[in-house]
Amino acid sequence: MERPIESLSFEQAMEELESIVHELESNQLTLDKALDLFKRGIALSNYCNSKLEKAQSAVNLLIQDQKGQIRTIPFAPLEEENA
Amino acid sequence: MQCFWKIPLLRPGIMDKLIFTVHQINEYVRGLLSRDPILQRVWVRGEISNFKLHSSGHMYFTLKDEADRIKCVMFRQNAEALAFLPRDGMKVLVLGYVSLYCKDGQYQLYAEGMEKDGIGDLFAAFEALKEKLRLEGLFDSERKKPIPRFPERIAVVTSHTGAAVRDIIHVITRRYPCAELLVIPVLVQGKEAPEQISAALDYVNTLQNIDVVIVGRGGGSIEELWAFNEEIVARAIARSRIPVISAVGHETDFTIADFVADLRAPTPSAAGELAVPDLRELKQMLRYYDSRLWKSVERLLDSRRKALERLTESYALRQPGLLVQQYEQQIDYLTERLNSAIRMTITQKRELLAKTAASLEALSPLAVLARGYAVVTEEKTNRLISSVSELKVGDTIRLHLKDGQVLCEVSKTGDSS
Repeated sequence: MERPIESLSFEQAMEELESIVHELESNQLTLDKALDLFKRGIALSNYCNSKLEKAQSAVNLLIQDQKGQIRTIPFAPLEEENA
Repeated sequence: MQCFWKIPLLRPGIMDKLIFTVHQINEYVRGLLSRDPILQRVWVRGEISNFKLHSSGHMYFTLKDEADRIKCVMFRQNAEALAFLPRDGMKVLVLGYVSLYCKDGQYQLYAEGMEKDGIGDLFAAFEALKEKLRLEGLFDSERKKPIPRFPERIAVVTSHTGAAVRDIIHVITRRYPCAELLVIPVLVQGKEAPEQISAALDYVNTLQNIDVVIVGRGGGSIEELWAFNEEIVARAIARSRIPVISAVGHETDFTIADFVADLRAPTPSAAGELAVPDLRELKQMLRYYDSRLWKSVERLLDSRRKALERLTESYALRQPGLLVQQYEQQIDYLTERLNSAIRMTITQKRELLAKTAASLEALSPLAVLARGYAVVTEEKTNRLISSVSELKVGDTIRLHLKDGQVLCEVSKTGDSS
C-alpha cells in the first residue's frame, strides 16, 4: 500500500489522503498505527499542496506545417476588442 | 346565412330524408370548420407549387408535401407584408385558418403569414439520425465515461479564433492553473467542418496523457451548428476512449454531439467549469483534511492520556507511596526502639560495671592493705606467701604495708594459735 508519494498522481494522492482521514476518524486504531497513518496523511497533504502550487498553466496550439509535420506552439487566444 | 333547419317540406313520402341545398351544405361544412379551434389558427409546412400572383395583389398557390396538397390563398393586405416573394419549390411555413370557399366547395388554407422553412429538411435529417444512433445505443448512460476529477492535460477541439476557445481557456486557467491545455484548431462550420472535427478527435486519441477532451463552438444559428449534428462527428465522439465533453452553442441548443458525449456542457465556459475543479476549493479541502488529521490524532492522544491518568489514580499505583510512608514510619519507630534499647543496655552495663568495680575495689589488695593487712613476699623468690608452711626460720620476707615495706627475718613459725 505504501508506494512512494512522488510516484502518485494528484488524483491518487487525494484519494489516499481521503481514505486516511476516514480511517483515522473511525477511531478503531492502535496508537502506533494511528500515528503512522497520520504521518503519511500529512505527507500526502503537503504533496498535494505542492502540486497545486505549480502555478503556470501551459496553453499550447497544435499546428501542422506544409510538410505535414505536427507540432505544438504556445498559444494565447486573441482578446475580444469590444465587450 | 340561411338556417339549414328551415327545410321546405315538399310532400309526405320525402319527409324521412333531410335534403340540403348545395349552398346549405357548403355553409354547414364552413360552420363546422369555423368552430374547430385548431383550424382557426394553424401553421402548415409544405412546398409551394402553382404559385400565381394576381394583379389584384392576392396570391394563389398550392402547398404540398410528399403525398398531399392543399389550396391556399393569401389576400393582398397580408401578401404585401411578406418579407420575400414566394415561388414554386420554396419550402415554407404558412400561418392561417382553414375554411371552405363556398363558390367551388373546396376548402382552403387562408394564409395570413408565411416564413421560409430552410430547416425543414435539416430537421427531418436530425430526427432520423438521432433515432438511428439512439437505437444503436450510442446515447446510453452506461456508455458514458466519468470525467477525471483532476485532469492534468486537456485537449480542446474547436476554432482557435472566436469566443469559445477564449472562454474555455480563461475559465480553466482561472480555476485550475496546473492543468495543461492543448488546442486542436478545426473549422466548426461549413462543409469541411465535420471531417476536421472527427479527424481531430481521432488524433487526440493517439496522444499520450490526455485526460479529457472538450469539443465545441460558440453560439450560432442552426445551420452554423450543423456540423455537430453530423454522423461522422457523432461516431468520432462515440469511439473516443478519452472522455468527451461537448460544448456547442447556447444553453438551449441540443446537438447530436451532445447526446453522444460523456458529458454535455451548455456553453464553452460551462465546459471549463465541468472539466476542472476549482483550485481554491481544492486548497480549502486540503486544509480541511489537515485539520481533521490533527484533530483525530489529538483526540486519540487525549483519550489515551485520560486512560493513563485514570490508571495512575487508581489505588494499586498509589500504594507504593502509601507503602513507602508506612515503611518509613516503621523504620522511625524501630530506630527509636533500638536507640532506647541501646541506651538502656548501656545504662545497665554501666551500672553493672560500677557495681563490679565496687566489688572489685572491695577486693582490691590495696583496699585490704588500707584496712591494715600486709602482703608477705619471700624475698629471694619474690613469691607471695599465703601460708606459714611456705616459710622456715631464717627466711627473709618483705612485708608490704599500705604506706611502705618492711624487710624481716623469720624467727619462729607456728599456726594461728
